[in-house]
Amino acid sequence: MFTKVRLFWQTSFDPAHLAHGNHVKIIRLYVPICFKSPTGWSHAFNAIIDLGSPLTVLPKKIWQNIDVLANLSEPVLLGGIGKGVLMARLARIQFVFLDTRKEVVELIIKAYLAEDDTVPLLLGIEDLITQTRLICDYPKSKAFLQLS
Amino acid sequence: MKTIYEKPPKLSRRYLRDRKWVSAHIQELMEKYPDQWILVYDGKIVAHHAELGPVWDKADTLHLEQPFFHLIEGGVRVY
Repeated sequence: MFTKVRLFWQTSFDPAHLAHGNHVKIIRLYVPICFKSPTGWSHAFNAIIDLGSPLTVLPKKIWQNIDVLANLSEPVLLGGIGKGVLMARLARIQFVFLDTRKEVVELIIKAYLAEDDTVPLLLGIEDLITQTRLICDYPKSKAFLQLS
Repeated sequence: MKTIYEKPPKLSRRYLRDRKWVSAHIQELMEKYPDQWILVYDGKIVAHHAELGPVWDKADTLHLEQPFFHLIEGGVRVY
């Protein structure tokens, strides 16, 4: 028995290239999630499924308002995001995938808690792709995560 | 005051409509709000800022139920 979590594609064109007549697609895959917080559950957020990121990254405002299950490290330098270098600490957090159905799918994952509030919410490979099957069909505008 | 959800909420129809609205207007939003977090409710931009904090706070101040938060990327961003 599998549970499917629906994902959403978004396609746009890079405005800088578009100005020169070049159509460079920016394709993103999103999933709505929310986090356990001290008072219940957080707002819903559109997280980017980022297969280029080894681990999940949370902006500061989100992790400041949710339950952090465990801190796993002191702040470390994280490269390749924001202005190039970012301080973040490793932690264990809990979130649920949001859908229109009653069924709740919850995951506990490791994540980097960024010391920055301008970074995107990224769901990285470890603990996501390692615990689910990602099925993508961009031409048919379909994508979902399959969990057993 | 914070918006409190007692159990994980289901996605509302309005949330899904707002998601579709953002997708339909994404080019225009990239021009107006590059690299900013936006808060959308009922097809309207309620707040926008480079940092998520002020946008989150606005949603709490207005007691919006399941508003749509989205980071508008101003162009190709490689994380």
